[in-house]
This record gives sequence, structure tokens and C-alpha cells, in this order.
Amino acid sequence: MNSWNILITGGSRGIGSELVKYLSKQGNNVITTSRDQNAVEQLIRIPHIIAHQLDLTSSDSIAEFVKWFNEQGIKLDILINNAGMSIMGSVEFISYEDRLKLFQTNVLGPIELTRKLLPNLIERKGKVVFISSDEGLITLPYSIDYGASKHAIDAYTEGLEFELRKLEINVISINPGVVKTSLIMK
Amino acid sequence: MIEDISSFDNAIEPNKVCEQIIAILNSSNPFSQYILTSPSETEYLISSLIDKIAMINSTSEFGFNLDELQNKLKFSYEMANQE
Repeated sequence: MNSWNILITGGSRGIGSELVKYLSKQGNNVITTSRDQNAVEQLIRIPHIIAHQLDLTSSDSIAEFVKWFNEQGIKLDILINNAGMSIMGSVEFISYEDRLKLFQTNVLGPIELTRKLLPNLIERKGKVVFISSDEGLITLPYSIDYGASKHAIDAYTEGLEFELRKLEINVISINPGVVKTSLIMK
Repeated sequence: MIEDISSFDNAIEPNKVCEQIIAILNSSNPFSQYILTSPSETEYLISSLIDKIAMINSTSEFGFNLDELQNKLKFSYEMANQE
């Protein structure tokens, strides 16, 4: 198996946490992020893991993170845009601010992070992965915003895959159903 | 292009998801979209997609062969269940 430099956003919980542990055990160089500084401190304690704070709702945080990342001299093989959030509830009770935060976290932030890391990815002809959801294929009631954000990221993947093909960068969307993570089991 | 690699019952074990993602990353000619769902979710997804296609077909002036698409989706589902 190849050993890769892999950046996984949102590595403190759920699928991201599992991916960090799994890919690290496989001998890859794993860099991960969390918006929560306390979670970053916990992640740093795991052997062979590099972790840094990143808030995908903030373009300043994304710019600061990419600057830090490039200063480490890491040549990226794979970017896994995993970080995300969900809002459930009846449409009339979901505020503009909450909806904005969801779309910044699930759509705009990952796109901006990918855009800023492209020069790094080009060097190694890397891969970009977006962890979407089965809700990227169908939209469920009371989870409309989450579903819409995952539809958006799937649509973006489809176009970006064609656009970056000339640079030999693969763009992949993965749509998992329900996964037995600690969040689901609680 | 969508690849359905469903092969799980109920909720998916995290290590299975990780294994599938590794396999996808190792693929020299990957698809652009992968669906990782349990058979029951796949069945629901396919019936929803068939409904969506039926709706598009009834409103599209171009029209496409709905029967052919339904057969393709059902075949994909049956193949996934056999794994």
C-alpha cells in the first residue's frame, strides 16, 4: 500500500475520527483539524497525528490554516473534506444564522479550503474527497438544509472533477448512509 | 458517474467505510461518486430515485427511456445484494 500525506478535516468525531485512526494505523502521514481547540489538544496526543485548529465558517481561519499548512512543507496527496454539521427541525424554526453556518461549514468552507490548497495538490497530482451523505441523493423532511448542502457539494464535485481532470487531480464524492460511529450509538 | 458499492446490513461499521475509502483512493480510475449504504437504505434510495426520474420524465420535453433506467437501477441493486 502507498503511504500518503492526507489532510482530513473534522477529525475529532464521527467518520473523521475513525478515518484519522484508520489511515494513521495504515502508515500514512495524517494531518487533521477541528474547530474546537480543546479537541485539537486531544488529537495531538495521538501518536503520528498532526492537528491544527480550523473553523470552516471563517475565511480568515481557512487562510491562516493554509498558510500554516504550507509552512510545514507538507506535499499533499489527499484532501478529505469531512468536517460537517447537521441541523434537524421544521423549516420555520431554523434561523438564517444557523442555515448560513451550516452552508459555510458543509459547502462554502470546504470549497474555499480546496481552492486554496490546489497549488499544493497539483504538485503531487493529488485527490480531493468530499464526504457527502445519502442525503446528497434524496432530501428528507426535517433535514432539508443538510440534504440541500450535500446535494450542493455533490454537484460541485461533479463539475470540479471535469475541471481538474486536465491537472490530473481526481475529485470524488462519497455518500455514506448511517455509520455506526460514537455519535450514532449515543 | 455513480458507483453503488453497497454491501452492508443496517448501519455501516466505521472500519468498513474506511476500508472502502482506502479502496476508492487506491483505484487508478475512480468514479466521481460512490454510495456506501446498507441494502435497506439502497432500496429506499433507488425507489426515491425512480420516483424522481418518473417525475422528470413526465415533465421533460426531451424524454428518456424510463423503463431502461429503472431496469438498470434494479439490476444495480440486485447485484449489490448478491455481494
